[in-house]
Amino acid sequence: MTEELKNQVGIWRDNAALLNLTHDSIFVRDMNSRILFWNRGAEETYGWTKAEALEKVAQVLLSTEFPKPPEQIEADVLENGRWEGELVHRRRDGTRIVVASRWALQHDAQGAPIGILETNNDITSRKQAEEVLRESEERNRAVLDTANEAFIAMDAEGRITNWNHQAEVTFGWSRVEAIGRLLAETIIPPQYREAHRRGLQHFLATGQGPVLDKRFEITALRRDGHEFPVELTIAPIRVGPTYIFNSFLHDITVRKQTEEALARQKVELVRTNVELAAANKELEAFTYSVSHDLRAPLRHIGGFSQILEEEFGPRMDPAAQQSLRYIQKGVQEMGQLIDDLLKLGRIGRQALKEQPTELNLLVEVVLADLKPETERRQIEWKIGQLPSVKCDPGLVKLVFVNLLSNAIKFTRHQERAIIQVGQIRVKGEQVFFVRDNGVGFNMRYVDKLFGIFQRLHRQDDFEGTGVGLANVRRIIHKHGGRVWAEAEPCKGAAFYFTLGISQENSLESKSMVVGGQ
Amino acid sequence: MTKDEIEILLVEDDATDVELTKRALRHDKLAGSIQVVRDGEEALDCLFCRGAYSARGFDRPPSLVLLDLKLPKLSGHEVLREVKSDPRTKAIPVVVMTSSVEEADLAQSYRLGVNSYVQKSVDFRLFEERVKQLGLYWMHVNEAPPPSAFLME
Repeated sequence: MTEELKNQVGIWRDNAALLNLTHDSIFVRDMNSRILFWNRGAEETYGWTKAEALEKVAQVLLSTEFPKPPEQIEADVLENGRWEGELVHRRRDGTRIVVASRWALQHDAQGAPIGILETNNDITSRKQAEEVLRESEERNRAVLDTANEAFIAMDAEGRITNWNHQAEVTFGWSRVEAIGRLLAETIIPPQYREAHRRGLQHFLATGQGPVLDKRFEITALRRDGHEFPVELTIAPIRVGPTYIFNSFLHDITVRKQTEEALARQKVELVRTNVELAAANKELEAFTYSVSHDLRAPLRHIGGFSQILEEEFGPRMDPAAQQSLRYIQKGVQEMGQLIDDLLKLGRIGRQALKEQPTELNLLVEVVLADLKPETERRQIEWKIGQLPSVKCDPGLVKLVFVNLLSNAIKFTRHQERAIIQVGQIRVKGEQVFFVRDNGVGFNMRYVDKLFGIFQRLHRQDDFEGTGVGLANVRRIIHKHGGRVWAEAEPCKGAAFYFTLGISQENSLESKSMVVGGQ
Repeated sequence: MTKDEIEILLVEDDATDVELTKRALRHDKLAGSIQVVRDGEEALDCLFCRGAYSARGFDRPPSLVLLDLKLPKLSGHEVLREVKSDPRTKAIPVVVMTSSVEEADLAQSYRLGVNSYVQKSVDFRLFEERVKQLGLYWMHVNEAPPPSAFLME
């Protein structure tokens, strides 16, 4: 140790009492890094006593980690006389601490460097707090950036201070671009900017704002000039003497479109209902007119042709008499058509009166009613076991009347008619059927079968008005069921129906139903 | 005619139906004392002895009213309501004879107190038969209401 240095160390020792007053750790090392001075702060910070530390090489004792190579730091110090930076030291107990380190070069009287005074301030807890804060902010940012809602914060001057990822997507401005801009000029359409400015001023002056802390809808502006509806909430947060405003918002274009479509549909529905009601009224008037007015002229034609026959028949030649009979036959058929037509209308208007109904009993009653039509016929009846079903017995009886009288009618030419009534189960659904071995029909015309006034046979061959199966379909549909038919000319026909809404909504193929029997 | 006693009041706007009805009754002596009115208003004038029928008195009501439902001015139901809600006419037997057998028409007629409801059949033979039976039953089988039946209660 040079004389100069000894003198200098002596001065530091003299000032030790003063240097010991500070909590900073202070030590002095010579140009070879050997520790010459070690104050109380250093003892407390590192755990090494002055006696233990003196004469030791500082970076060895403290296992110093430098932010850059130590030679460079030495060079800095020699050039500038000082250096500041963060170092990591190891204490005597092995724990690592981060210190803010300040180095000052010491010179002798001639100005030659003789040592370095190093002042270290333990900033470990501050660094940890900073780290925690940074992590917390990162987490918050991550949360905001994964939100489906756009998040925008604004200061009291109306400038954007926060802008999450969804805000970038929604409005077309990147975070970097948006922050610092006036909110009004960024996302508010020009026609609303003045109102926004006034609202902000009003709130800052009075602490009140009608749109704050609640959900509302407004028109927003995208970067490309497109205006669109958004739903948002704005929450003012007091920060010291001023405010920031946090806002969550999302694009509701699709919802608006859906709402508008729904509203349009509702209007349409109301209109349709009104039309339907009007159509129903007209239908009622029509039915009334048919019921009252259509029959009278028919009665007159029939009546007077009969009077003619009775009073003048004996004086008429046979051709004239035959003509009169044709007129009367036409009147009878027309009368039957009117009656059937009215019956169809009645079924349509009638409300269902559903109750548990034993179908076997119902079929028995129908067969008894049809006795006059079967009396002189050879018919083999195959009536299967039928369940009790919840339905309108009056209407379902009509179904069996129509199907069974059809079966009787269209087996008329069979020497031995076979008529079968039964039920099968298809995909868990109950299907009823009436089958005969009569004349059948060509499946090409199956679509016409259930249409009103549609007939697949000539009047001369099989009489009828073409209303019976239309009634059947109407009744089955009223019960939520389906009806269909299968036939082959000269081999017979089968009619199938379900009662009530099926469990599976799928329509199974006809062939499956037939094959399943 | 208004001075004479009315046996049957036929309320019917259709001339042909009037002709057929009269024809059905032609072998019966009743045919001669049929009074025909052609709309609901005239029917009420006749039954309530007013207008052209003011010379008539309530003491000689018709023995039977055959009432069509679809009529000009006032409908058959409206006529029925008036007749059956007034003590002076309430006891007069009224038979609705109309083309319709719609449930609504039947129900309304019976609610208003009709004495019988007969459909005018499209089949003339049946129509003729029914009209004859009606005349026979109401004019000969049925006991007519006595005068005291028309007094205020």
